[in-house]
Amino acid sequence: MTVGAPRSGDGPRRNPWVVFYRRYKLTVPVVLSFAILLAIVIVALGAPTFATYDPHETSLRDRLTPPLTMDASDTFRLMGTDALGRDLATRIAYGARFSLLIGLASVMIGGTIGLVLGLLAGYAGGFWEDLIMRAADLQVALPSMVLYLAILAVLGGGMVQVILILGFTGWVMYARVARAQVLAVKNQEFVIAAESLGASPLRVLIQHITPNILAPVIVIGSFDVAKNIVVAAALSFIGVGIPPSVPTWGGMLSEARDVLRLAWWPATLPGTALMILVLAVNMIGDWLRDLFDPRIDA
Amino acid sequence: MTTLIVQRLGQLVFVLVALTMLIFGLMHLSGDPVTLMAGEGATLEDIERVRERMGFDQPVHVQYGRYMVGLLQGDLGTSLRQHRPVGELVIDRVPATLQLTVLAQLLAIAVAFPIGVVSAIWRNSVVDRVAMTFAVFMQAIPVFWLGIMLILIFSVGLRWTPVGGRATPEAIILPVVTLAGVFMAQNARLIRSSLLEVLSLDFVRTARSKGAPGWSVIFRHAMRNALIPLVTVLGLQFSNLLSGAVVTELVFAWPGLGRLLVQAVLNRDVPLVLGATIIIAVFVVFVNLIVDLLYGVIDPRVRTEV
Repeated sequence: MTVGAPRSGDGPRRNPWVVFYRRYKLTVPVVLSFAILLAIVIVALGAPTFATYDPHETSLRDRLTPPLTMDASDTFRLMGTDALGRDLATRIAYGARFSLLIGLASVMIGGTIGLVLGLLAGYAGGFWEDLIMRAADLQVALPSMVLYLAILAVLGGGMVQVILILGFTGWVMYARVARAQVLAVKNQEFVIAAESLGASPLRVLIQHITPNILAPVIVIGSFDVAKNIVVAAALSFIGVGIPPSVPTWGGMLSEARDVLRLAWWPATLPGTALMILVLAVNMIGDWLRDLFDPRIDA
Repeated sequence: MTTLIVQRLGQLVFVLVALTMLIFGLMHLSGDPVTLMAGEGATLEDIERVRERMGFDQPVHVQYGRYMVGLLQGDLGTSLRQHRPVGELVIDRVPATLQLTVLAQLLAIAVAFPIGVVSAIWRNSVVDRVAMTFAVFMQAIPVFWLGIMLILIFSVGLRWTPVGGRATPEAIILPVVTLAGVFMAQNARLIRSSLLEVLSLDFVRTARSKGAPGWSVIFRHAMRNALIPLVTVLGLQFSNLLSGAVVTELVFAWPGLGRLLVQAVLNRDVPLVLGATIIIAVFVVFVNLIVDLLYGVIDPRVRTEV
């Protein structure tokens, strides 16, 4: 800022909330998305405290109680019960835990691997760059769902397997973007200055380059959380992911399909929860992208 | 052009080697694969039979070598459960998947195109805002849940369409709409942004300033250029389309490759899984090659480079 230029904060006093709102380009859908995400996180974390039922507790007398009605023992069921008489609201709350856990854990793994490989490819160049980037091309040549299925066929399903598979196959986008960003900054003055002052390659990468390339990586990460939540649900729905004994949204939808002629709610409500979560995370991703890179027009 | 073809075929070889090595490696690491494949309740005799047939009494590199030699001769092995050659089983399912994916992509483009163009021309209008909001919602709906909801409304509620299968001609409607749903939204957003970008370029302003009519500027000048990124994305989408088809086929009991693959995974029928995966990989690489070649037809600038 030039000395003497009017400071943007001068003039009529502004409401700090409005300043904050404008500065971070917040809009009503974005604020709403954060509120929804926060609510889902609270429900997920608090499920064991809030829930009045056990997610596994079956009650054949109360099976397929519609939402907002009383069951056979005259207790109110907010979201009704499923074909085995298990409380849907409770199961959806527990399902949120698994969805969030899988989404976040798999993106952490994939993002870290991709970031490290992308940094290496961009900074080292030559052989490593070729190897890593060709590997990325190879993986993309196969439809992701097909790759997950092929690996699950050998490893078998389970929560850990799903997280690891989504994590270890999720590195490609991060590596590509990280490499491109490294190539863009590695010849800039601040990097050359650090190098000529004798900073080791590792120090240059971690201290000087990484902070400058994190923004797009975070944006991709936010979209990936939503994507991986959906993929994990799809795998559970197919029956190859997390076993049906665990209350996941995908597993609930799979069971609900068998009673579709009898009841709409076991299929509708977990899916709605899934859609709302994905929508909120995607909106936040869009917002982050606009915030970090104003050039991109959504 | 020859370079391009050689490049793509080279990529195919690498994909197949990497894939088979991954699966063989994981199989080797995850303990005794035979017990796993023979399934629960298999007798010791069953297990020994499978072991011998699969060549698992041999060291891993010998097994892998045998498989690759077979693969080169077009032999994908035999299914553990269905006792038929894997190649035959897989090829039988290709038409159903092709029908589903091609129709879904055509529907997705047919709906997305007018929406994208109108949204771009009347940017920030009510139409644009409604369409783009709708697109954001559509993109958040998981494919399999959309399928279940359509079954709930149109098959269970209104009784217009069958719940699944491929027995009647109407049976294809819901799977195609389901699979098209997500791509519709994606394509509409893409066509809109691609056209908007072109409309802001100099040559469009030149066309306008020399007095060309509005429709001519959009369809003759801008659209041709806006289509180029779309073709690239459609090629890349094919891979995602197949991922979506796997799930859609399962929801609607559509007898395609995806359903075969899922059943093979549930049965732990590793030769069938590997065979189906290999054929899908071949498929994807060839579609991408066709898209690359098409690219040259559409954009003369690329032709000279290739």
